[in-house]
Amino acid sequence: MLLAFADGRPFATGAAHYPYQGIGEQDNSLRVIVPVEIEGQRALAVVDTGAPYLVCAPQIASQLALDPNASLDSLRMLIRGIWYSGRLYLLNLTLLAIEGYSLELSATAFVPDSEWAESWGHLPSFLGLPGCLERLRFAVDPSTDTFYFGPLI
Amino acid sequence: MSMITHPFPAPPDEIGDRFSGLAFGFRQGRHSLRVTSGSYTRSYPATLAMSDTTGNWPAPAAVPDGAKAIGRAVLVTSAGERTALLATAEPTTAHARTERDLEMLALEAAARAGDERAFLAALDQINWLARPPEYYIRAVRLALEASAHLAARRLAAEGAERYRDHTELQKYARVLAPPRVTRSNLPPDPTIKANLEWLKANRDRYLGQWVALQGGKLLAAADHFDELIRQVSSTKGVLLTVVY
Repeated sequence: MLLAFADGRPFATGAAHYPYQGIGEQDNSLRVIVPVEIEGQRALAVVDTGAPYLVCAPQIASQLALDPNASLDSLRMLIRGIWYSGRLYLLNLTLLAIEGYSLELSATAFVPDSEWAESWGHLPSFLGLPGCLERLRFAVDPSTDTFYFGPLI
Repeated sequence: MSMITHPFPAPPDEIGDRFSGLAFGFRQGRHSLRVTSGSYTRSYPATLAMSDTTGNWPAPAAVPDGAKAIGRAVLVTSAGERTALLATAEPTTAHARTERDLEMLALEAAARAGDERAFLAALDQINWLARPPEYYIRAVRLALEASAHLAARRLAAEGAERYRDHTELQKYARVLAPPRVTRSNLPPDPTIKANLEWLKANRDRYLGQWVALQGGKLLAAADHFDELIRQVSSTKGVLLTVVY
């Protein structure tokens, strides 16, 4: 059952179960990891409201045939304590649902330059708040490890 | 800050040999020094050089070509560090440029320090009405570097509104625009659940490896991403992930 307001309006229109676990790389904090599609490529991403933008793992980005001309010129961004060089794109992100409806949005995405792939290691992609999740309603139910999401309507 | 504004009792054409002020993020190289004496304010492009531990200042080779050294100053930072500021006189036409340079220097210093608060404070001091599109773009990039993401978006949007024919600024505004839901009624896909269940069931066996999954079935596994991709003929509809 999806979440709704008291007056019946939907709070969430889709939901996905998430593994609540660490992502390795000396990061043992438990994370909400959700299934997504980035420009049609399926991946996992960590919900990280402390981060900006969709941050696309360089390995995933390598499969997307991105056009650098459509991006902003290379710049530096501080991500998880490390300065990465990369580009900002406008990408299609789909939050995949196993209940209700999947939701597609156009989000600002930071894509580290390919030379950072080795340094990026096994980190997943990240769903940040500004530029990505900020215009969505979303919630987690830790009792069922369910991530709910829906548009502002 | 690479801009120093300090009331100085000496005649305005002389820097004097000592003053103090708060500073952070000073780096060797070109900066701007603004000195005031009463109601008189004068700005100088300045070269910051570091003294060695014995207090010896670097050779005059630090003076830019064509510039006239008009004095040296010792800047004592709030941490008690001593640095030298060699002020040079340049043609007065540099003065008009200096105001804009000072603004950008302030933004640059804050961005390099990753100090969003300082960046926003410096941003507030700028009158944008007379600024060209390239100035907007530079400021947006600095805002991103300073992690002032909402300010970057606002600047890009304002610049794009003012310069509607500027292609690059329009692109900045477009990329930094607020996210927009394009479809919210895509049908659920049962293969997603199957993939998640596979990951849960096989976590111990494949922990730390890259895997390619489709419909809950393992297509390939590898220690490295490049190895994984070589094993998969197409990634369409395939989940590519590390097993966490």
